[in-house]
Amino acid sequence: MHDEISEWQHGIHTGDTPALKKLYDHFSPSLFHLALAIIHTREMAEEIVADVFIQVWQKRKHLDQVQNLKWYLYATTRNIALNYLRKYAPHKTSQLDDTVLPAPPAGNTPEDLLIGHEAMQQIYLAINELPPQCRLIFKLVKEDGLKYREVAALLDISVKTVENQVGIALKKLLKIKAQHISNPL
Amino acid sequence: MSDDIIWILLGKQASGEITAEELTALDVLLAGHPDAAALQKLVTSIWESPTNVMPVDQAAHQRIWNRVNNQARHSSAWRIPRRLAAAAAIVVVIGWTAWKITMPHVYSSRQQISEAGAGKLSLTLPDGSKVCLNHHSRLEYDDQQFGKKNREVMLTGEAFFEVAGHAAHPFIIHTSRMNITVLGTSFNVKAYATDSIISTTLISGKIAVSFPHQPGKALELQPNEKIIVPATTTASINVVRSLAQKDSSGKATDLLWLNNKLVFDNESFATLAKQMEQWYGVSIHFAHPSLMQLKFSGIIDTEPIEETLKALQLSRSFTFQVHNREVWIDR
Repeated sequence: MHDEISEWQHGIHTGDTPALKKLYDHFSPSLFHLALAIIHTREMAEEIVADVFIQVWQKRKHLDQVQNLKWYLYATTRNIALNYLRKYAPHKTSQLDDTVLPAPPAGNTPEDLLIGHEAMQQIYLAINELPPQCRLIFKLVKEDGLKYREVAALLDISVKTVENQVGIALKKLLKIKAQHISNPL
Repeated sequence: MSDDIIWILLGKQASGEITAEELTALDVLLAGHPDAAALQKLVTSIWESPTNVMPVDQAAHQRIWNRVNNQARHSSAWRIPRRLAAAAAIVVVIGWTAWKITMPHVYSSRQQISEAGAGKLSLTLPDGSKVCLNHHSRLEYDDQQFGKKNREVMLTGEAFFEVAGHAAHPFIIHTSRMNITVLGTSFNVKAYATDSIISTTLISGKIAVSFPHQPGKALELQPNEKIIVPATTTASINVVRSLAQKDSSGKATDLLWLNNKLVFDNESFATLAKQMEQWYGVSIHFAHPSLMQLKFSGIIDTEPIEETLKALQLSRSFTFQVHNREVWIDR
């Protein structure tokens, strides 16, 4: 995965738009989620994500100096989202939003077949039931693969808080998962 | 709270953040836990469950991309490819004659030629394969046949290939001394007309190498293998096969040019001068043949040529003068 990202990074640096598209396809859902958690509205979150990739393209000449492109994307999304927040919604607090994840797709992906749609629904709903901040932190660590210190920097919280929130998420999820396993289909 | 520590540590273990010390602490905690094994198994299964199923809203995904793409197309740097296209059109006419002389039997219809001048050039071929051309390198293929009847290209210079899988036609690269048949992969080919050797470094996948001057002889390369063939026109070919050199970060040194770096390791000034000529688009002249024997090691980044020569002066004594595109090396 890391190699693929470096390849795209190099492609964009040399002016290759298909590489930009690949980077976009890979990261935009996660970045959209982060933007949405900060800004609350889908329209603005879309604009923010677009701005992130436009910025990557405009700064492509210097993109080879970026050490960690993934982190760069998340941090840029956070920064642009906070700017939007200051500009367009000064009355709103920057508290993490309680946006609900959309429903999981119908059970026909290979993953569904592997672990069973119902089991996945359970985990999915369980994640959705976590408090917003806890859910976002858990998602950033587990699904987006960010380091604890990266999540801490991104959300302007301490590493300790990240540790605690991941622990809390695991505890809650495991309770549900354990119930599910003890009552098989 | 003491109960929560076990969850914090399990989270750190699953995410790979745990330290050796914490791992010991976790082991102690688990040892005192009634069903530790089941607990760890559950954490692993949670962590490995693909819960990242947040479906992509395809309409929004496309909408955002359109916005990005519009901006990308209208940003000023897009004028450069158009200029290059014009330059390529001119090259087509000149290249045509040269091609007819060198490869008269291969193609008959339209040639598509891409040429990187002093810079590098990335291009995508009609079959989706990607090529990054190094300085003063040139790639030619037949527009009418490529992707339809064959996937053959002719390379002069150096290029990095990322070949798209394509069952119907193998991807074949012709160089002056070596033909490379690709079975879906990425690799580097170096075949400058001025170099004394031609080399291929395989990064991933599988390629077969054959030699136009020695029909019947063929080699298969494994990943991270490199093959070097002398470019001189003597009848016998001495093929040197070795493992690709890697730098301290584990990247193949043959690929450093992709990141704008020229690498040399205990190379003679003569060899280095040829590389610098390609790199900077200059001619380098030696006042004394003995100077050509000096050996250098190093990496040239994006410094101007004067800076590079000054850096080289630190390790060996010589003088230089740069006039326009001519460089004179003296004692």
